[in-house]
Parts: sequence; C-alpha cells; structure tokens
Amino acid sequence: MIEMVKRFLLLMAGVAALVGASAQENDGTFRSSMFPKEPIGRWSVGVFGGMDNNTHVVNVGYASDMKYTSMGGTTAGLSAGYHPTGWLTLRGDVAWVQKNYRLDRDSYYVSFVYTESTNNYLLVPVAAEISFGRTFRVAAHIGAYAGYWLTGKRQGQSLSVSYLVSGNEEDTFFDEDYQFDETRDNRFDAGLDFGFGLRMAFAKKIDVSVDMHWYYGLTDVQKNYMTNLNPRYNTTRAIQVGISYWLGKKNGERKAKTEN
Amino acid sequence: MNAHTIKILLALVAVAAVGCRKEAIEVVNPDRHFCYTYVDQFETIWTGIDQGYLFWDRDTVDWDALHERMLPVFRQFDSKGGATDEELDRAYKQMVHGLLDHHMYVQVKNLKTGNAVYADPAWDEVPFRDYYHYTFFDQQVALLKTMEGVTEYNEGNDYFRCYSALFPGSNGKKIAYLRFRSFSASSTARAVSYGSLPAATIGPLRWFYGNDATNGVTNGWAGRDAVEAVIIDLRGNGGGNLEDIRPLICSLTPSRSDIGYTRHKEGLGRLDYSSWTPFHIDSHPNHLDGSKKVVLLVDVNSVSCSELSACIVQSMPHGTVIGERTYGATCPLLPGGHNMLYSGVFGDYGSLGYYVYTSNFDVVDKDYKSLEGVGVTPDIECLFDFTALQNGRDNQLERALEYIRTGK
Repeated sequence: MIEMVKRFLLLMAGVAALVGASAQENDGTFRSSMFPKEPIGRWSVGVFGGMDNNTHVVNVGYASDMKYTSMGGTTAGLSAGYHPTGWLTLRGDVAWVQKNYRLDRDSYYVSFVYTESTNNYLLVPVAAEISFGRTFRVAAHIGAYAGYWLTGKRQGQSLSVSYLVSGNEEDTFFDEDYQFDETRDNRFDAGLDFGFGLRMAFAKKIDVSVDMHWYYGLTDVQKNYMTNLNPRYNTTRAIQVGISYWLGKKNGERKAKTEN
Repeated sequence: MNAHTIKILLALVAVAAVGCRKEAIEVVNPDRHFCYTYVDQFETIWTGIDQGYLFWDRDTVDWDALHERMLPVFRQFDSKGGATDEELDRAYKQMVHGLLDHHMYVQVKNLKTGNAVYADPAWDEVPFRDYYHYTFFDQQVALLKTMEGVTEYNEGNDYFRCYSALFPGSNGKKIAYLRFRSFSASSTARAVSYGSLPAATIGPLRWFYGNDATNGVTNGWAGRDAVEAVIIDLRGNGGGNLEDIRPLICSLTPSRSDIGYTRHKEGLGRLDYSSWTPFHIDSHPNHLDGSKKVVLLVDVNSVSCSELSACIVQSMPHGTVIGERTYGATCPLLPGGHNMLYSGVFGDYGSLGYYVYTSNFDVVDKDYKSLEGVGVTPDIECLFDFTALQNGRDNQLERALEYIRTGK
C-alpha cells in the first residue's frame, strides 16, 4: 500500500511539473492567452466541502489477523488564494478533515471484534497551485499542511469477560468519545497536500471548483513512547467542491488587465 | 531563479518528502521463537512483555531502561559460555521485579544446565505485606468437623479439594458452608459425569447446590428454607476457570452482578488498548431468591477467580466479604490468549524453553479503579490468627458465623 501511494505521489509530482512547464514558452515567457481571465495580484476567498477516504498505514507485523481498512468521512473548510501571476495561485485553507479507519479481526474466536475510529482533524494546508485553461481551468497543487487532532470517537465490538462468562453479547459493544492518551497520542499532524482540480467561472466574481486532495501525513500519530514502535500514518484522499469569490476589482477589469 | 526552476524544485521537494515516513520495523513473534542464546531468550521475553503486557498505562517500571540495563548481563552469559541457575534466576527476577501483574510468572530453561528458572513479580510484594501468612488450608479444614454445632460434614477427595458443613445459625435456622481449593468444579463435574472420577469427588458441591453440582442452586442445602445464610470459604483458593463463577457464585443472587469494566490489548504498541466494555455477569437461572445472607471468606492467599468472586459478592445486596485483603491478581486471562489478543500467555517451555504467564483482560471497578496488585479489601476485616489456629480455633470462620448470627 505504501509503495502504491509513493508511486502515485511521484506521478502526481510529475504531472504538476508538466502542467507548469506546459504553460511556459521556450523563451521563458508565459502564454497569457491560456489564462485570459486570470486576476493577477488579486485575492479570492471561498468555502468548500466534500467527502474523504482515509487509510491508516500501519505495519501489524506478525499480528496478521488485524486488518485495517479505509473508511470514508467528511471534509469542509475555508480557502483563500492570492494570484501573483496568471498561472500561479498561492492557496491557504483551513479545513476540517475526518481521518477515519476500521480495524477488523480476522480470526475465528474474535471474528466479531472490530473498531471504527472516527477522527476529526483541523488542517491548515498551504499550497502552490498552477492552472491553465479558459472557461474551464485545470489546476494542480503541491503544498504542505499542519494540523491538529481535535476529537475522536470509537465504535465497535470487543471481546469482553461478560461475553465469555455469561454470553452477554450486548456487553461487547462500545460507542464512546475517544480519550486521548498524552503519552501515546501525537495530536500534531503535518504532511503533504497535493492534488488536482477543475475551475469554472460561474458568475461575475464567482468561481466553482472541484478538487482532489491527497493529505499525505508525515507525522506518526503516536509519540515516540517506546523503543520498538511501529509508526502509524494517515493518508487521506478528499474530493472537495468549492465556491470562491474574487475580491477587489470587477471581473471585467481583471480580464482587461490580464489581456493587456 | 525562474518560474520553471521553482516548479521543478516544488516537484522534487514533494517527491523527497514522500520518503520522509519512518520505516516499519519487523518484530519477532514472542509466542513462537526458537532461542539459541541467552540474549535471544531475554530479547524474546522482553519483547513479549513489551507488546502484550496489560498494565503499561500504569506500571511504574521503565521497561526501556531495564532493557539497557539487563542486556549486558545476558550478553555476558553468552560470552562466558553459560550461566549458573542461580545467576539466571537472579537475572530474570531482576527483570520482572516491580511489575504490577500478580498473575505473572516467567519460566526459562537454562541453556547450559537444562534446568528451569522461575521469576514471579508478585512474590516480591505479597509476602512483604504485614498481614501475610502461608496458607493453612489443611489445618483449617481439619478443624471444621470439630467446631461447635457442626453437622452434615462432607469432604471431596484429592481430585477436588472441597468441604461442606452445616452450622447453627440464629432462631433455629442453619448456615450452609462450602469451601473449595480451586475453581475447577465444572471440569471436575464433567469428569464425574463421564465416569472418570468417583461421584464422591463432588459430594460437597452436590450437598450445597444440588444433584447437578454445577447447575446453580437446585435441591441442595443452600436453597433450603432451613438455611438462613451461606458461607463460601475461598481462603487459600488459588483461582482457576472462569466458567465456575456463574454456577457457583452468581447463583447466590437473583440480580446481575455489575463489577465494572474490562478491556484488552488491540495492537502491539504498549498503549494500544480496546475500549472499556461493561463487566456484568448474569445470575444463574437456578439462583437463590435474595433473602439469604451471602458471606464470602477470603485471605491473602485468595487469588484470581477468588478475588473476582469477592467483587461479585460485594455487589450483592445481601453479600458480605470477610477476611483479609486478597492477593491482587484480579485481571483474568485466557490460556493461549496471545494468538487471540496479542497479549497474555506466550511461549512454550517444552518446545521453546520459555513460558510467560500473564493476564490479558484488564478489569477495573465501576469507578475505573484497578485492584491489580492491590487485591479486594473485605467489608469486614478479620486477620488470620496463627495462635488461635494452634489452639484449635479458626478465628476468621468464627467471625463469619458471628456476623451471620448477630448481624454485626
């Protein structure tokens, strides 16, 4: 799985580089005709929301019947962008992202045991986005994020002594807020944010967008509290639909400026 | 630096950052690892406890520092061609010293001599309690039939050490008494039903509970109108199988016993735990109606299932625990549980030369307070009196009878 993610990241990095390079002529100048409506030197702000899917990357070692699987979640947030050139946007987001996952036990006596972990993160990604196109713009971004693990929930079934002694199946269920352990849990989160998207001018000062984000965690979700600790990372893929509003000059003005 | 260079750099930074995740480490499976050196044995046992031990969230032993301190000792054993049994015994006792788990013991084969050494962290603590005493099980049961007013005395045999008797209570009523040495009643009753053991083995159980022996209270003395109270004597009872708890203990109350919460390990990290789930045990379908007093006698040698029984009796409306604070091995385990829960018992002495016995279910009370390493404090404390025993008296049993007869 890690190798697959790495290959995909390499591919994405390559695509991003090509997208940027394709917007450039041999003499180093940019083909402004590809970005007739780009608002150079202006800001935009927006909101977005969507769905995500998170993979909890952990080496279970010899505990091969512990199966971690990806789980879906929700994401939403605010974004701001500054457009220093016709092809480049510097983006900053404040995003609520759920990084959920499920642990199942694939062993005869405990096959009913599972835990669904719901984890709410606040992420602040900062990215450089390059884009091209006219009515529709294709964009790719690469950046980094920092974040904080806000809250969590745990829901599932566990093996209980009650169940073993008197067969009380109801005592195997749990559904509770996650209690953070200061020794174990690393609530600081940081990693890469990259992806691609589509932009469309929807109204005079309003654009709509669809973005695919990869939040590739580089911080272990655990603190380094023991010697033989296998690291755990989250890799989250998100599809976000957004709407943004151009601040400052009117749309027509930005068009005139970029076409001069 | 032009824009093209910046984009290439961004792409390179992204690629480089992807490789910034720490590499996963491979860990040996401590449950089945062949060891050819003293260091191998130490590392395997250290790792098994590191990953599967249940109490790392509250144990005060610095396990990483201990590894640094002890590894040179075992390296030295290898470099000098072996260790004496005394040296190896001392090393493993140092290794587990101070661990909280009172079920734990470590058994290791000395690669040089072929002899077993044995380390038990509870044994560094329990004997140093000011009220600690050896078990005088045989001496106490020998006194039973000599006690004033006793009738209906029954005893099992060496397969299942079990004793029952009837004592006079108050207002002409009786007190039914049962004592057994281990929680192996259900398996023993099965062996009797298969014909592998004589019926007399479980005679006292049948006398107390009824003909079915381990099917709750049926037609035995415990349920008869003539009996006003029952005493279960678990002094010196080293515990055993959880399956006995419900027919032998929970059948003494009509209500469900709410003990607290349990959890287990959920991964190989020291602090990877499952969520807490309620620890209830339903009453047995064949149960007492709740009108009789239930008294449980315990002492410092009451271990594991005996302690769990004390928790259950304390949760009964008519239940009272009398005696001493118990041993402190309150968290149960499933033998062979390492394959199931990646915690608890691991290794095999016969084939691998090491074996570690340790809990795999953490238990706390309703206030999330752990009794592991502490034990159950009785409702009425009555310490063992050796002088009384020498004079032919069992002061703790006398105290239980007095409580039933007088209500105080």
